[in-house]
Amino acid sequence: MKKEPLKTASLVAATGSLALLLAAIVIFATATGAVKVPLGETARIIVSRLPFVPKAKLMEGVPKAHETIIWKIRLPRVLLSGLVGAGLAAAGVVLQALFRNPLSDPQVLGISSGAAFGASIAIAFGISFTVAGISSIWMFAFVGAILTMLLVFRVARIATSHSVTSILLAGIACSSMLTAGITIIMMWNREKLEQVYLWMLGSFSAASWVKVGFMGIVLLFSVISFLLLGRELDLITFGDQEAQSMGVSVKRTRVIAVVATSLLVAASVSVSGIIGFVSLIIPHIMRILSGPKNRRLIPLALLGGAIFMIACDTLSRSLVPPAEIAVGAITQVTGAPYFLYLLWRERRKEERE
Amino acid sequence: MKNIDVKDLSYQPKTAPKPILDQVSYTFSEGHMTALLGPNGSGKTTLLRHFLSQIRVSSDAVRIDGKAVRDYQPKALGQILAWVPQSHSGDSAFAVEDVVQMARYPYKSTWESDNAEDEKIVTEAMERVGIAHLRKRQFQSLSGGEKQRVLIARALCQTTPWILLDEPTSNLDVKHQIQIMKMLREMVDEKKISVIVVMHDFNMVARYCDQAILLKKGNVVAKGAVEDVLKREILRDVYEVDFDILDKDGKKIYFAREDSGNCDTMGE
Repeated sequence: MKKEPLKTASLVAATGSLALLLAAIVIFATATGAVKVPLGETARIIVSRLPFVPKAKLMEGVPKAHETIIWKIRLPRVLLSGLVGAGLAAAGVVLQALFRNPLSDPQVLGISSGAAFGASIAIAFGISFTVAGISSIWMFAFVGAILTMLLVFRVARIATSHSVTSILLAGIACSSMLTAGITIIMMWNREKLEQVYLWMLGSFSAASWVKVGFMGIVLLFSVISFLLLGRELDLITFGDQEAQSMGVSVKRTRVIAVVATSLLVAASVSVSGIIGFVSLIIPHIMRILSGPKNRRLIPLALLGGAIFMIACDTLSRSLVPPAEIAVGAITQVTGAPYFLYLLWRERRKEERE
Repeated sequence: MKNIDVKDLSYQPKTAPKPILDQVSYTFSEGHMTALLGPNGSGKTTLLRHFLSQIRVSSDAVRIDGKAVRDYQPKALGQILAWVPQSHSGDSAFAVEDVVQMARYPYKSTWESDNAEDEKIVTEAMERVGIAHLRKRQFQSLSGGEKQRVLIARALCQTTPWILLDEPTSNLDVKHQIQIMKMLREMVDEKKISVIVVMHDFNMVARYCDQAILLKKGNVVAKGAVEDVLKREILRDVYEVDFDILDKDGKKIYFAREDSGNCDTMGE
C-alpha cells in the first residue's frame, strides 16, 4: 500500500473509464443469454428508449421478440444487479468509516442477516400488505437491519472503544443467532422453505422494473446523504472525540449514516436476498485508487460495485444454462478468499510493527 | 474577553466511588500559557474534556466567553478550542497533509472545498511544527513522536484562540520537546493565542508557562503564577516527593529527591 493515490485529474479519468466500462458491461450482459441478441442490436434497443431519440429509425430491422426479451426481461435484471452492487459497495465504504474498521461490511456485521430475518418472518407468517407501494416484506427487512445494526453497535461499545475484534465478534454472534432463527422459522413453515432459502442465497431472477425503480430511489437518497457526510466520515476515522473537537456533530453524523446504510442494505436484501462480500472487496480495491477520502472513494465504489455485480450475475445465469447458480454463491466464492487475504495481510502488518 | 470560566465544577460518573472533580473553580484567562498540573488520576484530562463538551453536564459550570459550553454548536466550539489528545491509536491511511487539513472543517460549509488561504494555513502549521517533510507520508506509518507533532500541527491549523494540549511532549525527544514548547510560547506571545497544557515536567513548566493550576484528587490545591504554585511544600504535599529547587539564570530547576519521605507508600 505504499503506492500513492491518484491525483485529482487521474482520478476523474479513472472514474470516467469505469463509467464507460459500466455502460459496455450493461450492453454485453444484456446481450448475453439463451437467445443471442447481437451487441449492436442490444445497444440500439436500449438507446431507443432514451428521451429525444428517434425510436422508429433506430429500431429498423430489430425483431419484436428481441425487443421484448431485452427490454422486459434482461435489462431490468442487469440494472437491478448494478444498482444493488453499487448500493452494497457504498454501504461498505460508510460502514468501514463508521466503525473505523476495514473488515466491516453488512454481512460480517450481521445487518444482512437482520434484514433476512425480518423478511423471513414476513414470508413465513404470510404477513403481506402494501403501504404506499412498499411491501411488508421490505418493511420487516428494514426493521431487522436497523435493529441488528443498533444491537451490534451497542454491544461493541460496551466491550470498549469499537475495537476491531469486539465489533467483528458482536457482528458474527448476531449473524449466527439470526441465521439460526431463520432456520427455525424455515423448519416451522416447511411449505415456505424454498422461498426463504432462495432469499438466503441471493438472486436477481425475480427482477422487474418496479424493483429497479424502488432500488434506484433508495440508492439515490442514500448516496446523497453519504456524499453530504463525506467530510464528517473522514474526520470520524480519527475517533469520535477528535472529530468532535474539530467541530463535527458526531451523533448527528452517525444517526444519518446508520439510517441511510440500513435503508440501503434492507432495500438490497429485499430485492435480491443476501449477497455477501461485495461491500468488503470493492471499497478495498477502489481505495487503492482513490486514497482514503470518502468523497473520492464513493463514486468509484458505486461504479466498481455495479460492474462487479453485473459480471457475477451474468456468470450466475450463463455458467450452467438453463439452470442458475445463486449470485450470492459466486460473490462469496470470489470474495471469501480476498477476505482471508486481508486478514493475513493485517496480521503481517502487525508482525512487522 | 474569551476567558474559560470554571465555577464549582463537580463530576462523578455513576460507577465511581468518589468524584473525579470536586468543586473546581478557576478562570483560565486569555493570553496566557497555563500549565494544568497534578498526579496521575487527579482529574486533569477530565477537566479538559469538560471544556471540549466531551463530557456534557447539565449545569453551566463551564463557560467560554460568558456562554455555557453546552450551548455551543459543535462547529462554533471547533472555532474556539483546538485539542491535542494524549495519545492516538493512529491506524489512519490519510496522508499527513490531509490530516492537518481536516482541522479546517469548522470553517467550511458542506460543499465548500479548501481554497488557497486554507492551503497556506496548512503549510504554515506544518512548518511551525517542523513536519513539512512528512506531508505525503501516511499517518499510520509515522513514529509515536511524529504522530504527536502532526496532531499539534493539526491543532494550529484549526486557528483557534485556545489550544488545549494533553501531555503534548510525552512521546518526544528532548530536542523536539523544547522545539514544541518554544513554539507554543511564541504563539502566546506573538499571536495572542491562549494555551492550556497538561504536563508533568516542572522544568518545562517553569521555563515556558506563566500560569499554573495544580489538582489533587479532583480538588484545586494551588493556582496562580507558576512560581507560586511550584513551591517545595506544595509539591511535597501533592506528590509526596521532596524537590531540590535550584536557581539558574532566574529560572528554577526542579530536581526530585529519591530519599523523600513517602516514596515507598504511595499506593496507600
